[in-house]
Formats: sequence, structure tokens, C-alpha cells
Amino acid sequence: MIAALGGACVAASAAGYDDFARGISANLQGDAPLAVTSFSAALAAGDLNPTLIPAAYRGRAIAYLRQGQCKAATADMDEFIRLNPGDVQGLELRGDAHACAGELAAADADLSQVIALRPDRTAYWNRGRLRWRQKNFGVAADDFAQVVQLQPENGYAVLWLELSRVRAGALDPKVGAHDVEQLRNDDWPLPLIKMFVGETKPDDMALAASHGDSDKIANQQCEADFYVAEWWLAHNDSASARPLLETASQKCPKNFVEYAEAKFELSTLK
Amino acid sequence: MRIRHRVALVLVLAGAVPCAAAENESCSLTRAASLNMATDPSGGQVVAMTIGGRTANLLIDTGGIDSMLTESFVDSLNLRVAPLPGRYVMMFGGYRLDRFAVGHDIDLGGLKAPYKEFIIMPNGHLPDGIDGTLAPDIMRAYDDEFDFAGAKLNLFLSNHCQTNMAYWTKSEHAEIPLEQDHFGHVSFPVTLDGKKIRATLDTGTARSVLNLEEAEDLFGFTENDPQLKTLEKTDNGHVYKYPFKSLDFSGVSVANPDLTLFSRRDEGIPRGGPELILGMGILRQLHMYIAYKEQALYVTAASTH
Repeated sequence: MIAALGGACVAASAAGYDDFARGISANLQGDAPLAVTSFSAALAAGDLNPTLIPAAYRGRAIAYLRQGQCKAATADMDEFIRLNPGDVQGLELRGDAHACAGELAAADADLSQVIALRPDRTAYWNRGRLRWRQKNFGVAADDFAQVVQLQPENGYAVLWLELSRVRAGALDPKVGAHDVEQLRNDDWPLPLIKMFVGETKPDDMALAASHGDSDKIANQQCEADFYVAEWWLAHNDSASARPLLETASQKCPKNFVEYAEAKFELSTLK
Repeated sequence: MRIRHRVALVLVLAGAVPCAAAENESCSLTRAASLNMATDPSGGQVVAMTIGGRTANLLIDTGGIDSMLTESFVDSLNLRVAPLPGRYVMMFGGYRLDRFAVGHDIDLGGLKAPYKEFIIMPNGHLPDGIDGTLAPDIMRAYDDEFDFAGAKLNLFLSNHCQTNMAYWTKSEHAEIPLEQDHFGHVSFPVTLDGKKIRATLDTGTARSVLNLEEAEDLFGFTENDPQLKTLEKTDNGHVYKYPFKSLDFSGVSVANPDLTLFSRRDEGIPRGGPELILGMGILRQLHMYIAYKEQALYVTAASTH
């Protein structure tokens, strides 16, 4: 019977699989060094089922990224994509690895491939943010405009659209006012959008951010710090922007876009 | 609450290629399908189903009830959508699911059906690239073999008379009596650090979950025990970790099992639910065969052959 159903038996692996399983668990438990060691052992064992090899490279890339080993992550994702060409999530992850390594053009190429394969709002949002980091504000605005078209009620997409337009020096107040009118929700982050389209001033943001329950207020204040800093940068006043960016990088929750981008901006300020 | 009493049509065999030897031995196992399992970044196991000529990547979810498709996948195929007549299901997280879609020209590893109903789930609850779930409504129509090391989900016809389903090994294996609830969820006894406890199989969960109160009762520790570490603070309370040494499946042991502990009190869950939910963190270390007719689970270590 074993011989008759031998395909499964032959396919089964020993040491390589045990290391692979350990690597997956280590990533789930946040133990990146153990994940790297385990996936490396799995790949070196030579008996890992071929179906699992791409997942081992991807798992190790995730662990490398968590340790800031960007180039190593890129190399593993190259191998993953060689084995799984056209894998959208793989391209996104390699884009992250390239961005981590400061290879923004390569990251842009990966995210452009993602958009070609899956032109959804997440893909445009990710490339828009990358292009914003490259200070290609005009093309970033084009991507955010796509997000707004796909998800008109997304206030943050409108916010990044107007922010990018302002920083590109391409804001048309009439277009901005029209975008504001299209938003049905008067809540946060509308005051920030109005600031960028010229309907309110940066000084008004502290008061605007103070409305709502205590949890909301803390988050709104951190966001206000970041976006007001961006307003100052758009007006070539980095001295006014810097302390606000420092506050945002200290006070924004680490899973907020504004936290990551405040840190990025600080790294680029002279 | 059960959302559908039955699927519109259990997938019928058409074009499946059973093992050659199995065809000749009436009492032996007949493999109806052998599906490649991909591993998602969280360790979930994913198989491909063709619906209307398009591939849907489905997360294997033995903890589910009926198979589901995401809204975006349903939209992309422009499937016919209808309300679930007179019932709904509450998804984990409190989402009410009350619509289904009808997919046509179904193909699951060579098992074909002209149509199949899928519950529609909102987007954003599955990892990117996953289009839905494969749940017990389909899986319990067959015996299910999870060969994680071989990256295969094998489905066998259940009308056999073979008595040892651990066909992949001549080594020692465990045979554990199991129970099924009316949703098709499978539970069975295991031994955690010497204490008997009932476990429910849930391939749709990444990490295994133990109730804190059950653990306190069984092992005599309290929330103040220095070995009980807080992993995470959530809106519903704390998530804990305790250094358990061994989880035993009738002789097949998993060392240092990765178990997270939640408090029923914090979560507001009444007593009486599953004591231990076995997620992929532990399950991927096993090779399992679920024999529904025999009400038995056959287990070896994943790499045993």
C-alpha cells in the first residue's frame, strides 16, 4: 500500500521540513533570528519539498526585513519571484525590501508590475507613497488620484492627493475645493485637507485636532503635527517643519503611516 | 448558528484519477484528489479551486462551516448573489454574513461539480491573494489527509473498509477517536503536560489558543504566576504565553507547543466552548488523516515516512 501510494511518501521530507516548520512558527512569534536560522537550514537540507522552497525564501526574506537586512531580503525575494513569476504579494514584498535598501527605483518597478497585474487602490496607494518618498510629487499625485477615483470616500487618499499637489507646486484651488466638496464626511481628516487646499491655516489645526474622544484626539494631534510639518515643507520652511516631525515620530503609533513618513522626512532633512 | 443546512451539491467525482493500486483493491483507500498546498506568509495552507475557469486560492479552514469567497472575488466573476434565506452567520469579529454567491464549473483537483454555493465574506479578513476558504461543507464529504511536509491535501473516498489509514508509514502512529459537531468541526483528546484536554482542529488559525481559565483549573497556576508572560494587550484583554513542555497526540508528541492563552472572562465568552483550538503552528508538525466514517484521526510526525 505504501508503494502503491508512493508519491506521497517520496514527497515527504525529514530535516528540511522540520526546519521549515520551525521557521514559520518563529516568524509568527516574532523571533526573526530563529526564523533566519531555521529557513536557512531548511533550504540547505536538500530534502525540502520543492513546493515549499518558495515559501522558505519568502519566510527568510520577511525575517531579514524585520532585522533591517534589506539586501539579504531582496536577494531572497529575487529567488521567490524567479520561482513564482508574477506573484503579486511577492512583488509587493520585494518592493518593500528594495525600499528598505534605499533602492527606490527598483521598488517603483516592482510596484508598477503589481499595478499592471492588479490595479487596485492598495497598489496605487503603495506606489504613490513610494513616489512621494522619491519626491516625485507630480506622479505621486497621479497615483493618489487613482486611489480617490477607486475609493471616493477615502479622506486620507484625498489628503495625500492634495499634499502631493501642494508639494509639486501644482495645486489648483478650484480643483481642491471641488475635491473637498466630493467628500461626504465632515470628520477628520477634512480640516487637514482644507489646510492644503488653502481654506484654513496651519494654526487652526491644533484646535481642529482637539475634537472627539481622548483616543481620537491623541491620534489626530500626531497626524496634525505631521501634516502641518508637510505644509511647512511645501512652503520651503524646514525649520518650522522639523520640531513637528520630531514630535510626530515620537508620539504617533508605530503602525501609523505618519510615524513612518515623519521618520523618513527627518532622515532627509539637512 | 449553522448558515446552510447543506451545500447545493456535494462535489461529485468526475475525472478524478485514483491511485492505480487502489482501484484494484476494493478494501483499500481510493484517492479522489491530491491538491498542492501552498503556504501563505502566516503559515496558512492554500489550495486552488477553479470556478468558472478562474483560479480561486482558498485557505483550508477546518474551523469554518461553509466554504466562502471574498466580495472582491465574487465581483470579479460577476457571480449571481442572493440573500441567505431566513438565516445568517456571525463571523469572528462580529460581522454578519447574510449573502451567498453561486459559482459554476467547479473543479477541485479534478473533482468537478456544475455549481456550488459560497457564503460571501467581506474583503480584508484574509491575507492578500487569498480569495476565500475551503471549509468542512466540502472537506467532510471525503476523508482528508494533511501531508504538510509533502505539501499535499489528499482527499479519499470514505467508503472503504481499510482499518489503518496511516498508509504512509510502517512506523508507529497514533489512532485517536474523534467527535464531530454538526458543523463538521473535529475534536479529540490530547494530553498537555500530562493533563487530558479536548482539542479542536482549526487549520484556519495560525496559532493555537488555550483558555486561560481552563489552564488555571488544570495546571493550578494563577494570573500572577511568574511563568505566565503577557504577549500582547488587546482591547478585549491580555494574551498570555505559558511554557508548556509537551502536547501529546496518543504517543506522537510536539515539544514546546506554541500556545497562546486568552481569558474567557476578558473576552466575555461563556464556558463550554472548545478548550484548546489547534492552529497551524502545531498542526504543521503533524501528518494527519481524518477518517470521518470511522470517527478516527491518524497521526504521525510530519516528516515520518
